[in-house]
Amino acid sequence: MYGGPYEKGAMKKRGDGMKDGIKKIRDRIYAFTDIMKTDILFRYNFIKAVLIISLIVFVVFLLGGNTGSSRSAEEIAESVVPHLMQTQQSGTEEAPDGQEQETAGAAEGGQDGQTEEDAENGGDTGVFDGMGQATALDFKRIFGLNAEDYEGVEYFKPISQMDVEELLIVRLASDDQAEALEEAVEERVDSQKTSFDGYGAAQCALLEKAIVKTRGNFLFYCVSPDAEQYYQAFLDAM
Amino acid sequence: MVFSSIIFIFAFLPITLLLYYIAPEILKNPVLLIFSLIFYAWGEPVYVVLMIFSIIFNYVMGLDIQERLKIGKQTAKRSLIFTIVVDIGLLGFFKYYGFVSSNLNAVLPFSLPEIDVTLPVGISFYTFQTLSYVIDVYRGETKVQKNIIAFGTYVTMFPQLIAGPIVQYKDIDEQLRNRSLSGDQIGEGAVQFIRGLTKKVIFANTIGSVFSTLSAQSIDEMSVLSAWMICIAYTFQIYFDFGGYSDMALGLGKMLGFRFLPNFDYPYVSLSATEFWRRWHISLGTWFREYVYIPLGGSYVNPARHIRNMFVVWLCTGLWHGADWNFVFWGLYYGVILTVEKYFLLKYLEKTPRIVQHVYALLIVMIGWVFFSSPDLGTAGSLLGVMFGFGEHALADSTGLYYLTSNLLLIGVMILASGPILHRALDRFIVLFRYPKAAATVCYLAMFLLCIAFLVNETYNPFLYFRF
Repeated sequence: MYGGPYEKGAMKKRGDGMKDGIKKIRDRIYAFTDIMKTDILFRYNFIKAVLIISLIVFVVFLLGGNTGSSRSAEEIAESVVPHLMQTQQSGTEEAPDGQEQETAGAAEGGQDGQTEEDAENGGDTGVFDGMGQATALDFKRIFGLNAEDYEGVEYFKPISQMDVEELLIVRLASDDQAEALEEAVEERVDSQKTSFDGYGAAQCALLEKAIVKTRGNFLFYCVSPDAEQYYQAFLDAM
Repeated sequence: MVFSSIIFIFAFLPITLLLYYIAPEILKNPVLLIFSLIFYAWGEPVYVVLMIFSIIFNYVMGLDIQERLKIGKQTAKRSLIFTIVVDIGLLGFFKYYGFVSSNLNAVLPFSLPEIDVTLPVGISFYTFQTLSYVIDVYRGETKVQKNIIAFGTYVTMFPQLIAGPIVQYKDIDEQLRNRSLSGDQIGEGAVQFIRGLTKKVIFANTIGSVFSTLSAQSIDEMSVLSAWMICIAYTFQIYFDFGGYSDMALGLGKMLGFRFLPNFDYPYVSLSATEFWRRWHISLGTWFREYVYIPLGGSYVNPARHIRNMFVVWLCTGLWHGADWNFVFWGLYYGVILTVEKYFLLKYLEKTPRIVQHVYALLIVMIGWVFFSSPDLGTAGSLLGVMFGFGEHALADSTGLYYLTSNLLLIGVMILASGPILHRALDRFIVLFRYPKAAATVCYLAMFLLCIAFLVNETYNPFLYFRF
């Protein structure tokens, strides 16, 4: 028979070895629990060590979460845009009569303008006070980049030439796209500042507070009085 | 979740109170703990983990310090220092890393990595609470809490979790173990909650929109009147916002059987900056006094060390409010003012008419708010320049006049509400009725309904102190 008594002996030895190993582990566990029961400071030190390790793991996980999101640019934008609409509507209500008429007029004119452009560009749907959804063509014209090169581009451009409010959310296809895109956005901000320098003080003030952030596989760019809130909404959505 | 939201008022609060009231005595703390964690997790689902860590860590450290005190003071002190390092380290990482790294990167030959973490809401408040607990255990000023549920309830209690008041453990220790609830106390709490809600929803949010709109203007084209309107609007907004929150916290506390110490005592009636800080954010001032100022020697040292102690406290107070240079400057600004008042000005100021003292105090406070509310020191300097007539700015413009005239009544009411007059008048008015309790109910119900009407039309409007 294959193996014979030699094999049986070996198995027995191996089994005994395993039993010894298990016994050793069991003894160590008993010793550990005994110390935990009797030495209260040891117990606290052990809990402290576990807590600190857990904290480090949590922080690493949190920073790892910084690598981005698996959601699409469209999904992220959908979470940010209702927030955008809500805040801008309430902001318009607060303006004094003269300003309200001016803002409403600008928005209306802008929306009309947007509608005409929409027709040219094949029709956009999302239009808000101060900004409206743009097309891939707009993205190409304004940033000099092809939307198809990215995993997703959601761009809301100013609806009139006198507005500077805009929002851009891009899901990058790879990390190396981030630098070029950031440069393009910075150029856009600089170009807008040059355009409004001297006569559009309010617009320049908004451009000064523009937010351009790359977070993992996403880039966020926003010019708006409430840019910080939109960025927070973007982070929450991620 | 914010107190001034429909979901809190009509869903979270009634469910919590119902379950809390029907729960037997032994289950009241667990119910409160669970609902407080839900309250926090509503807006911060990830950071609730950090809060749970903070509870367990400080609970264990309290026991550890207590145990080590039996062996010797030195070993207990080492344990306390370790606790403080971990707690302050966590606060520092989440709140100050970005500020420190961006400033260091500007001067260092290499760059520290940019980490984009959001600030966990309420971390400054609950870190200070847990620190007060472990320090008091070390000092022997409070008994160690052996029940983790009770300790967790102290840290997370939703009325004061997000924006204070910073409740010191020793002030609430007995109430965590044993507290009573009466109909009168619940009613008193509800009244205080409605008062706070009114301050936030009707006053702070309304004047806050004036501040936001006017602040969006370019400072270069701003008139002196508009600049003053911005300053006045923020002065009222921050008081009614934070004071309103504190009132709601105290009111909710009473409804749950707790009595927190007041956080505000009509700060704008102060006659000096020193008095203002005895009346404004009292719990923070008390915390710094007990855990920083007095351990450094307080005022029982020579003048040079005393001045150093004051500056340390004010630098910390500024930094506690935010990781930015304008908060540092704002803190040091009060350090200078309070030092000057203490050693020189106060004795002369006390001899002047009360109106002069009052105008002086308000001016100091309002200038302080300009630094506090501005995004950077340059903007603060420019706004102060316009306010005090530096540069070529019109005295008034149509925007400034519009906001002044359309908010004149509101400002008048807020002036009255900033002092005790309006509260006393309301209380006296109510007792004129044959059935004062019924009159009070009708009066506060009307205020509550008015707040709800405001809330229904309002977008999300968190408290200013949430970002600290």
